[in-house]
Amino acid sequence: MRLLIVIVLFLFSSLAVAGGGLQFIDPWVRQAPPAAKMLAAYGELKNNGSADVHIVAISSELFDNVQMHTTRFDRGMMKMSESKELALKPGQSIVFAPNSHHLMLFRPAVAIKPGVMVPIRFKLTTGRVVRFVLPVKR
Amino acid sequence: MKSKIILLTLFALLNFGCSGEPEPLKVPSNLRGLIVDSPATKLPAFKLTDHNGKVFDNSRLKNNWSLVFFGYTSCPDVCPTSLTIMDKISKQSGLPDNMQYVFISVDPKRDTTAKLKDFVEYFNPKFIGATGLKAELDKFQAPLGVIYDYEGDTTSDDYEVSHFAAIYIIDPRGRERAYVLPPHSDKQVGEAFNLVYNYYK
Repeated sequence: MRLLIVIVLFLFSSLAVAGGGLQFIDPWVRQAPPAAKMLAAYGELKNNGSADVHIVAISSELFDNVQMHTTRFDRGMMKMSESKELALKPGQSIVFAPNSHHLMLFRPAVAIKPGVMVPIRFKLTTGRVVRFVLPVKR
Repeated sequence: MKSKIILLTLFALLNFGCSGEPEPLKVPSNLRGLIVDSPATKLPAFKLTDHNGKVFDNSRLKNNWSLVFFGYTSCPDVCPTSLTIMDKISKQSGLPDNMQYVFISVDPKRDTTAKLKDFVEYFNPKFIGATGLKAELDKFQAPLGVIYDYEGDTTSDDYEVSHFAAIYIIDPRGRERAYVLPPHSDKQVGEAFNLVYNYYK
């Protein structure tokens, strides 16, 4: 059983660096209340390749819709804004973290709780789709 | 001489009667975001409904120290972060016994009693959630300076709500004593509360 977990973890970690140098470091989906329709995912998305990476769409089999959002505080007022695209130069990264940039996940198809692995697909301008699998944490 | 003493006494009494306030709490410069009201801000009568369907009005704030946060349950980032911080604070030592944690939804259209219950109890079974008619929400929020705005198509289920995201400290007389500006950390809000509580208790 332990060996199986190790193998599964190894597979997931290899997935995490696949895809033309795009790496998702310590990614996670925040568990939300049972009836939540909006969730958020975090982690550091890094371009480890030698060419620019241009993300034009994000999706997940487990959610209706995925968007990139940024939380801003303007004199105490919380505002969110959506970014339609994201460009990362070689070596550049963006950190998705609470109260900052985040992936906003709309309407889950299943209960999102620890143990569930959430696939996230980043579509690039090249047409390539890079897939990561994110654990759920509280 | 006698009349002077009487005058001075009267003046002192009047002065005390007007404010009844100690000197304003001085906030250390290394504590970010804590704004103290001096004098405390009184709240007008308001009437909301809590996550169990019970009335939530001014009387629920009396005799308790309350941490109050305004938000909405469809908020994916800031509201869960701030409620997680409030839960961490609730587990700190040295807090008064009469402490309560309140989440007020500024999105009554989507946030039903059942949704509020699901939301607040996920973070802490003792947390209180409340919302109500806009007119009643505004009675509570206006003196606190809480502003909010709906963005997107409010006839759909996908709109967002921009909102003032401070954590308020309400004293046992049901008055706003202070607030802590976002972004929050449990250390920052915990220190802010301890400072305010120990000074004004």
